[in-house]
Amino acid sequence: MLMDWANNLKDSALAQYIQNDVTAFPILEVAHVIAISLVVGSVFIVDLRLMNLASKSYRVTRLMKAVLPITIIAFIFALASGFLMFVTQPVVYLKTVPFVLKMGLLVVAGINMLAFHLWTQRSIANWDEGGAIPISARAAGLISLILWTAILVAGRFVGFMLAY
Amino acid sequence: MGLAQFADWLDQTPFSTMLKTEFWIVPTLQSIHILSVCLVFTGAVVVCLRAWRVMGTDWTPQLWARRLYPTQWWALLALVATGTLQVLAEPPRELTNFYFQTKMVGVLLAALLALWLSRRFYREEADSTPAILKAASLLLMLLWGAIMFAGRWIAYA
Repeated sequence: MLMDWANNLKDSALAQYIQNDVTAFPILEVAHVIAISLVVGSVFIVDLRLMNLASKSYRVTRLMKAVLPITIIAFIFALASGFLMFVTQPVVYLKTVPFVLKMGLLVVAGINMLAFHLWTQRSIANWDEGGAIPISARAAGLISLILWTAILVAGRFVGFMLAY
Repeated sequence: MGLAQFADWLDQTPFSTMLKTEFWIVPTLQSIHILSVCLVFTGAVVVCLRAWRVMGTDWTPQLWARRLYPTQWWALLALVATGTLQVLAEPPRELTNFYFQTKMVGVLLAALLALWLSRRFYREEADSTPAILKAASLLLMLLWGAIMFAGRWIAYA
């Protein structure tokens, strides 16, 4: 079913346009690199604060409020540019191990973020400004740092391991 | 010896051959390179946005610069090291490429501008940012964007 969808997507007018326009794919790549750089860089700022390794004088909630809009906007651009690159050869990408790994890691990073917001963040008033940061928050920061690094590395390996 | 001949000679060296033939080396170098780009570019964007009072106003621009610029220097060092090794892996494709040469000029300008900005931001204790620093931080952010553009375009030239 997934491969049927991928096959249809490959033949769509959008996919044909991106494939035939010589500048479309490189422009999408540039947009993707810029967007993903901002996603990872901004996530790292919050992760290091959660791990109590940097920005210690900045309240956690205030730092998240300041930085996360950058993350969200950049993520939307990364998602859009990534999808537009994907449509050019969806079947190939779906058969490429680093690409599938990257998608899986993105889902895990999303779950980690959701778990943080649903559970760990409930007690944030106790450690928002100077209090001892609980192990669950530190772990969320560390896991996020590792996951986003792995997402970036997997993304780089996609181009080298395309399963034509 | 011209640049093209030098690139060809470099291409034939055992070290360049080793970088090319080991499958994992170039993608690993590229991964470290892009990770360093994340740190350098995000630092430039955040300091710029704070200078323009778009975000992070709980801290002065000076505090943001002190938080992010030191990381930026280490990341820039990693960028140069991994970039140099990537050039050694494919000298003819890189050294004679217009976009690569443009990127190198851009990196030099960005490093000088970042150095000047860090010195100025470290001295500015005020919450508001002088117009010259606002403009320079915006220029640095755009310059890094242009460098990334040139970097990706090397493969298509």
